[in-house]
Amino acid sequence: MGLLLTMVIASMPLLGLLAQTSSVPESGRWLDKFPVAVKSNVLLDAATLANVSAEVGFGNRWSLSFDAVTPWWDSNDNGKVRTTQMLVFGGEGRWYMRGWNSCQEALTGPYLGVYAYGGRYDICRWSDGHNKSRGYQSDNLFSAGIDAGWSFRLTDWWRLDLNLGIGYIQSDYRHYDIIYKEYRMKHYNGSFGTVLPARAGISISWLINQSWQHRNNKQKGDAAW
Amino acid sequence: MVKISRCLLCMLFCCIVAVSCDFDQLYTREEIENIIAEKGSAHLTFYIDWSETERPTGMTLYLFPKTGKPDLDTVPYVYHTNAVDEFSTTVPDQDYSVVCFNQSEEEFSNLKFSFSSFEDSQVIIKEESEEEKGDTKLYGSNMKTTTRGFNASGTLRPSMLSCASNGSVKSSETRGFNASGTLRPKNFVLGVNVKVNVFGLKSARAVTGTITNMSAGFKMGLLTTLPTTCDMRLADWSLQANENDSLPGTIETTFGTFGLPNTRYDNLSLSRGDTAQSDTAQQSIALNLTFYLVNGDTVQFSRDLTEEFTEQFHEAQKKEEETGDPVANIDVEVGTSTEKVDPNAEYPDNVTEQGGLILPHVVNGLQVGVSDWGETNNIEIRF
Repeated sequence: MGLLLTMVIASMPLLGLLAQTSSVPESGRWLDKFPVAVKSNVLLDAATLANVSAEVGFGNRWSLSFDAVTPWWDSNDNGKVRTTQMLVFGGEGRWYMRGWNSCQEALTGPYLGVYAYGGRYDICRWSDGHNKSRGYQSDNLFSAGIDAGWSFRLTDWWRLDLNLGIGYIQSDYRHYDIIYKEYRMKHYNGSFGTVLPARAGISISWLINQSWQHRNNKQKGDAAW
Repeated sequence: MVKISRCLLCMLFCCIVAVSCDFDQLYTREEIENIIAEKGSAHLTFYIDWSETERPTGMTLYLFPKTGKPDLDTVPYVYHTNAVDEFSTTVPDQDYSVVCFNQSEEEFSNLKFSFSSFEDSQVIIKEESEEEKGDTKLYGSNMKTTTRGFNASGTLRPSMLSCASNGSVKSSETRGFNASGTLRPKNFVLGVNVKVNVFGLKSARAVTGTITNMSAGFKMGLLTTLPTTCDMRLADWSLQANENDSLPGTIETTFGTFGLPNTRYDNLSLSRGDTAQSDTAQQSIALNLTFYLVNGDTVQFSRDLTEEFTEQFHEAQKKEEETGDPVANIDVEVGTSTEKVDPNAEYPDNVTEQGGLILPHVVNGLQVGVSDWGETNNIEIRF
């Protein structure tokens, strides 16, 4: 828990530091001058893993994204327990190979990235073979690695982001069974650590501030940045 | 100085709220038992023995609370499960009645279930709609007939429903006591093989029939057939004619039934089997047959089979008590296969001395033993 909070809070001044190192115009809020995209991985959405990411671009080739995967579902159908509870936060730094010169082309093209994320989870499913619900609970999930992808420009403000990453994933977990239809009984502790494809995504992203800025500029008759 | 925007503050707030969510706690078994004891709950375990009937792929259990404590729900606990050999649950500590049967209520399209209470738990045969009745249709040389849109063997299939019940599964006065017991479902849909000896059967092309005053349902808690009766249609007859008019042919069919109305099956305890007792006199059981002759005529018969059915049901019950093995089918025969008649003699009501039926001799239509089907005659037609 403390590690997660530290990760989240520590990332805030880091973002500010990066913003100051970039060419920030003197007037206006600095956030309005950098493309900010909000996105969701539809692969995780299809698996009912609620997730959201925010990507901030700077310097015409770089971006930082902050990801949150936070499903919190729990159901119990007469002892058939289905739990999907995750609090996973992380980030990724990307280098866009082609770069961009206008807001309409921001965050597009092929890219390489470095990611890291951590969190906790509780996953429980019914097992026909054991005739009971069984689950895994962990307070430390960690993964870091590299990924690559391509961000396709759908419209001026919409992107389709495909990516695949490989990295190291490690977790200590507690295995449990559901007995008497509702109680989680400890079974055993375990851990795993391995290198595998740990990240894959098909994301739809929206350049949220840039579309507003462009709309405002058109109304005022100003040129785009 | 970097201004932290409202957007970033909002993100930080969401993260702090998210990380404050906690998982369900894990316990050891001893801790769980203590929790159950403190809650005043009981853990019930049932072992279900399907050795006396067909083992299903799923089952249904109804737990009916018996003591009406004001702070406890009196609605029955209903469980549907694919684990048919053992079942466990934790329930408030009090006495329960239990009804267990194979599959679930939705899987019997021709039966209607009701579980308002343990004593009133029952299953009843749905009435057949007009569309389902249809009419007869002739199949092939064995003169087998099937009523369109209708389940063969009537509305019940033999051995389709197995049930067990217990009137009291009291856990204990001690809180947290774990109770267990065995339920041994028995088949309550008996198969009845009806065989009728008919003379002159080669005159018939099809037959339909009904059996009257069979029990329309079954009380699953009290293990008693309902006093309500119904007439059951008999379809899927097989006809076997005899070339010799002096000897009978036979028509046969099989149907499923809950049995005679108002028949009790005593259930003595959670782990012992059932014994059967027959109750008061019932209405007469009649077999009504309609033969469709090859010349287009129809002939109807009605036979009172009360004695035959009653005797066969009692024999089946006695056999079950003696051997301990369940009886799945009984045989009812009208007439005898060894009886001979004089084809030229007159018999009152067209029924022989031993109860066989006599059909009038007709010459049109299909004849048994015709051998020249397949020869073609080329006839030239001039216009």
